[in-house]
Formats: sequence, C-alpha cells, structure tokens
Amino acid sequence: MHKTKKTTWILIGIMIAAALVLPFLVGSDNNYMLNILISYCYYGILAASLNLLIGYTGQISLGHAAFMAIGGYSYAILNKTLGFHFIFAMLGAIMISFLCGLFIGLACSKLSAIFLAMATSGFAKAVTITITNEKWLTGGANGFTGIPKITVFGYKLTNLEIYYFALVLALLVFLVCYRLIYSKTGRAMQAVRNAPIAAAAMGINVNGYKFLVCGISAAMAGLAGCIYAINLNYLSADMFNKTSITLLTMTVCGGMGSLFGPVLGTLVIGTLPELLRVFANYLDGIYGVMIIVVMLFMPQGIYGGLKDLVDKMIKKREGGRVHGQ
Amino acid sequence: MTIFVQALIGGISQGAIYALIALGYSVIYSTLKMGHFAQGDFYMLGAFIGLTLSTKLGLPAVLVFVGASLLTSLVMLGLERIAYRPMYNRPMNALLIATMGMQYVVQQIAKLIWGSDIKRFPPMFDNQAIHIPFIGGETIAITPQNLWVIGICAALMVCLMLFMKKTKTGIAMSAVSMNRKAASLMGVKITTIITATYVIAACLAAVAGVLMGPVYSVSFSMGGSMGTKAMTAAVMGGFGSLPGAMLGGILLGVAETLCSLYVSTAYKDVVTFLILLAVLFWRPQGILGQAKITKV
Amino acid sequence: MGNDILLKAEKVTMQFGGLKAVNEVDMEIKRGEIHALIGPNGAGKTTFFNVISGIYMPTSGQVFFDGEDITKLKPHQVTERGIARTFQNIQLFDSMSARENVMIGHHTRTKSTVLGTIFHTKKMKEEEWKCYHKAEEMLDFVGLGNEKETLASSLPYGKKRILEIARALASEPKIIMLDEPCAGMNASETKELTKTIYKIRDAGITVLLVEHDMKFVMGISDMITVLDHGGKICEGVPDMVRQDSKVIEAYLGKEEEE
Repeated sequence: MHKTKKTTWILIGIMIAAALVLPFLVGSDNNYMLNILISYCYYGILAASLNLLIGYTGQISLGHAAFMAIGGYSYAILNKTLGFHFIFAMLGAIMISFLCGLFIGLACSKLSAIFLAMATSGFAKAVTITITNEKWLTGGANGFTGIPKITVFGYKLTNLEIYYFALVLALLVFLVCYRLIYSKTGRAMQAVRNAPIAAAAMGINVNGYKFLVCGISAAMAGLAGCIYAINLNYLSADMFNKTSITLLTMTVCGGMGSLFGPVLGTLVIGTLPELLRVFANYLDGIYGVMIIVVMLFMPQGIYGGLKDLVDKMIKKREGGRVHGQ
Repeated sequence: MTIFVQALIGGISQGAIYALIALGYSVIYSTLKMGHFAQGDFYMLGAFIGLTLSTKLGLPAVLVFVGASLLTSLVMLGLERIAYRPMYNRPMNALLIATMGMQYVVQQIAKLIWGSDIKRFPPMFDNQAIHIPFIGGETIAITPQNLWVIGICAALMVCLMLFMKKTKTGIAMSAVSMNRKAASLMGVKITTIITATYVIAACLAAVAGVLMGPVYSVSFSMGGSMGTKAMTAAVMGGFGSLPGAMLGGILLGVAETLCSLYVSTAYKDVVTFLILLAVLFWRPQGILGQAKITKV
Repeated sequence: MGNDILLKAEKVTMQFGGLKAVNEVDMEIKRGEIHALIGPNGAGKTTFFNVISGIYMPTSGQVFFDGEDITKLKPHQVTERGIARTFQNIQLFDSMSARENVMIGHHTRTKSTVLGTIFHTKKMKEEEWKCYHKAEEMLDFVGLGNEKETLASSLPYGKKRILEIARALASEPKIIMLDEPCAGMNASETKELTKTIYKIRDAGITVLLVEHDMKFVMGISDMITVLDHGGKICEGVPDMVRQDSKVIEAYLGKEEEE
C-alpha cells in the first residue's frame, strides 16, 4: 500500500492554493494571463497523459496532439453542429478519443515502442489531412469557428470561471493518474516497461495493458482538447501541429515516470515561450536541444534531478550529524 | 492503360526515393534494434547542401551528389558523437526520444543557415521527356529525372548490398545485428559499427534529398512527412531487412501514385497511414521480414 | 490420468528454423515432488521451461496442467492456472523496490479492475492491503525481510535470485519452476537456498528446477530428467541417473572438451 509522505501532501496543498489565488494576483480580468493559466491546465493534462504512456508503460506516442485534436473537434462538432449540452459533448469527445487510442494501441500492442511511435506519427499526419479536407464537418483550412462559450442554466461562464473549471478538470486528471500509478495498475504498467517477459510470467497481460494505457492516455488528451476548444472558441488543424514537440519536451524535461515531473515540465516549458519571446524563431531548436541534453544527463528529468539533489543533501546532513555525535 | 503505365513509372521513381531512405532506417534498425526519427531531416539537409553546391558553387551533378552526401555524413558524424553515442548502453527508449529531439535540432540548423522560406532547386538533369512508343500507337513519356532517380537508387542499393556482403565492415554490421555481445567478444568495435550505420543512413538520405530537391523544392520542414513515409515503407517490407526496405519503398510509391490517380490526391498520406496500420495488424514482421523470437 | 500427476508434457517439440531445441519430450511431474531437469549446455532445458510457461508455443505436442490442456495459453494465463517461474538471466523490475516486485507477483490473485483503482473502491483497497501483506509474508519466507524497501537493481546478485523466487511464490502457484537458481551463488547461499526449496515443497508447492550444480541437484531432487540435444535420455531417481551410461556419456563427452 502506498503511503504518501507528509511533505508531498503539503507540496500538493501549496500548489493547489497557488493555482486558486494566482488569477487574482495577475488580475482576474487580465484575459491574456488567464489564457496562459488555462493553457497550463490543458498542457498539464496532456503531459500527465503522455507520462502514463512513455514514463510508466515505456510506450512512445509522437502524435499525442492528434488525440487532442480529435477531442477538440469532436467536442466542437457535438456541441455546436449537433447541439449537445457541453457536458455530453465533453463526455462524447473523451469517448471518441479513447476509442481512437484503443484502436492505435491495438495495432501496436504486440510490438516494441518504436512501432507505436511510428504509428502515432503517421496517425497525427492522417488526422491533420482529414481535418483540412473535410470542410463540411470541420471547417477545413479555415478552422472551426464559433464554438459557443459554455453556459450553465443560461449563465455564460467568464474566462475566470473557465479557468477554475479547467483547473478542477486538471486536478481530477492528476488524481486519476495518482490512483492509477500507486495501485495494481501502476505496478503492472511499470513491470511492462521494466521487463515485459517477466511481467507476462507474473500473470500480467502485457499487450492488454499497453492497449488499455494507450486508450486512457488518448482519452485524457481528448479532454485537454475539449478545454482548448472551450477556451479559444476556435480550432484549426495547424494549431495542433506544434503541440506534439512542446508536449514531448514538457514530459521528457519535467521527468518521466514520476507524478510531479510532468507538472513541473508544464510550468517550466509552458512559461518558456513567454520568457524567450525574442527567440521565438529558435524555440523548436531549443526544445530539441533540451530533449537531447536531458536524455543525456538527466534521464529522470528536472524533477528527478532535483529529487536526487535533495536526497543527497539530506543524506549529507544526516551523515554529518552522525559524525558529530 | 497508358495513364496507368505512366503512373506506374512515376510511382516506381517516387518509391525508389522512399526505398533509399527506408534502407537507412533498416540499416539502423538491424544493427541497433531501434528507430531514428531524424532520418527524414537528414534527407532535408542533403537537399539543402546539394542546392548550395549546385547553385552557389555551380558544381557538376556528380560532385553535387558526392559533396552533399559527404557533408551530410559529416554532420551526422558530429551529432552522433555528441548526442547519441553516450546512450548506446542505456535503455533504448532514451536514445529513441533523443532522436526525436534531434529532428528539431537539425531543422533549426537548416533554418539558421538557409532561412525558413521554400527554395526552388533548379533541375539538374535535362527536362526533355523521352517518348517511348506503346501499344495502340500511344507513347509513354519518361523524364530523364525519373530515369536518373531509378538508376541511381538501383545502383546505390546494389552497392549497399555488396558492401554488406563483401566488406569487413558490412559483415561486422551483420554480426552486431545478430548478437552484439558475441560480436564484441570477437573483436568487433561496436561503437564504430554503430557510427558507420548512422553515416550510411545519412549518406543515403542525402542522395535522396538531392534527387528529390528539384521535384518538390526545398524547405526546412520537408523531412517530416518523407520520414514517416520511408518508415512505413521499411515496416511494410520488413523492418531491418534491406531487400524488404526496397520492396516496401517501391510498393508504397506505386500505391501512392495509383491512389492519387484513382482515389484522391489529398488523401494519399492517409493511405500511407492505413497501409502502415494494415501491415502492423496482419503482418507486423513485414513482407520479407522474419518473425522475431524473443530469447529469455 | 492419475490425480497425483500435476504437470504432463506429451511429445513436446520446439523447432527454431532447422534446429529442434526440444524434441518429442514426454515428462510427468508428480504433485509435491522436487523434480530436476538437467543436461549439458544447449540441451533445451530453458526452451522447455519457456514452452511450459507459454512464452513459446510448441511446434507440436501438448502440455497438460492439472488435467487441463494449457499448450495454447498465453504466459499470463498459464500463471493464472498456477505455474510460476524464475529466469536464468535475472528479470526483475529494476526501478521498483523488492516489496513492489513481489506485489506484482501477486497480480493474478487480485481481481480489481482499472476502473476500481480509478474510483478507489473499498474492495480494491482491501485487496491492496492483502497484496501488501502477501509481499511482506513472502519476503520473510525467503529471508529477505530486511530488504523490503531496497530497490531491486541495488540488491546483490544472490539476493536478486531469491527475490525472483519470492515474486514467483506470491502468485500462489501449484508449481514453481526455477531456472538455475544457484547460478552465481556461493556455498552458504546455496545452502540457504536448499532450505528454502524444502520449505517451498513443505508448503505443498511442487518444484521443477533446472540446475548445473550436480551436488545440489543430486541432494535435493526426488526425480531427475536428463535432456541432451533436445531429447530425453534418462529419467529416474538420483541414484539411478548417476549410474546411467547415457548420462555419463553426455556429460563426460562435454568434460573432455573442456
């Protein structure tokens, strides 16, 4: 049974408190800042979902943004074109992403990680093309415009309220990840990544888990797509093209295979474009270099690196104390 | 019928390019059991270097090819040394993710040197189509470009096969692919062999880039979709098998051209993806590949 | 089929390309016995293990477990039926603690689903506790009680092998298959292992083991099967096997080479 340390709970508490107060610090009517805060929410969900796949199960998705696009467009179509209530539209969109994820997972579950990476990158391409060409359904290259703001009993949510809505969803996803990871399922996922043959010999349905995690991860990405659509009221296929690299950088640099890694990655990498405005043209290259450098020197990411550092410091201090006695 | 044959020739020529890049994937997969997601971007780099050599320096075609492949290999050599080599003894996923990062690094390098606009690559071969008489008094037009593409690709494939079968390095590469530990015990320098595979892959991609540059124009983002397609070709033929990569490439090229002819041009990349999925479902080891037996 | 026979292989053949790694091997393992499978290197012992545990599908022949045909089952289904194993090349989950490794061993005996874990159901929590204590119990059983929270990758070699046994036991098997359990162990560790294996047998679990250490095998086994070049050349109690001319030939032939 997993027991979370007290310090971890305090850390989570501080983070949630900060997330709740932050909009008032930046000004609750500052739409630009609210947008960034909302983007942290959906990027956080995406990074967490990719982390389940890469960090815990050892399966690589290169086209995770495609699942996000599917979620976003499904939401838009269900909500605007077909007139479903936003809750049902969201549930529908998550379901559709989930099924797409299962489908891709089914094709690759028997194979090594390289094949899933290839299939997902091909899938991303195919999704982009389909979105651009099916004008009647998606608005084609002009994008899907006029996705309505969500209303609850006739009350139209403000940007601030949308932020809190997104935050609640992000926290829910975090909770789901937490429960998955510190359970039978999480152990099985890690076993699959560590030693697939031994995992099978321990009674774990290796292909089954790969397949299922692919679906769950896609469903989470679909949810992120919904938030994206709700926030921007507008979707276009090329908005998702850049997301894949940003997302990979967030997950990898933050720290794969740890619960907080992707959160940290989202905050750091999500803030980077704002800080490096001058270098906007070099951003992709910078991401690329970051991925390589992290893989070379800190395979556990920034979070893992920091944790090692703290552990070492604690050990040193304890060692010193023993010495002193 | 004429249109069909015409399309077929176009498809084979296109497929030969896929095959060249796919060979790179297969060489890397067979020695390292892993993918190289930046392979398509070395194709782009080759095209740009070729463009500079051909327009800025005005070199003749032969030198453009040789120069582009040498320079691209050199870049690969440098990047491999810095970024990949320290990871050969670590879990494969780390290296795999690094190659994804590399994709964007190479694109950034290209953007810094050549800018982010699409550049026109002037044709290197005579543009005059050759007309060959065909049944029913019709003629089939073949451009010298197509012939050169097919010819050069075929020649390179033969060279690669001979290299793998006859040279010491080639044989060492097969040894590493079969059993890395044993090969190392027999005195094969594993790191050198792995470096060699990357260089070969980069070389092939560069030639493909120079060949295709005049057809599609050149831009920093041209490698992505080419990479995906070549990967599909490699998987289709049998990942890790050299004849498989060639067969896969040609088949994919033909399938694509026929799809644009009879179904839809816009969806030809979707067809590529569907073919990949179908192969993964029904014959993951590919057409010429052998099912792998996991040793415990 | 008598009820005292737990595992039965009938004409099992496993062919890789032109090589018959296992050739028409018949074998019966009685309930409650310690049964050893020996033979020179490359005799097909590990391949035979892999066939039984479902990692390989045999080219021909059948495997019965407790009267049920398990030839076509997948590895995880075989484990579910009650066959656990360890590996010749240690296959632990390196990034996890010894306890977590053993908890994974208990995977098949828990029923909660992914939805159960997401919604944190009461049943799932109870199972999780049971699993936790099972791991505790198994680690104490094999004598790794002091290493519960140690990362699997940082355990010494001998303890890794023991941890594999604990992990296999956690799946509550009817038979445990040990692939070279003493490899790389020193004399005192081997002695401890012998005790553990007797303890396993006394707990009512049948043991099938592959081992090269002849002294160990002859001392511990109730029954020995000898394989050579994929075929069975001898089967019987230790004293009989020791004197069998074919066995001596198979082993001596090898020793001359060395």
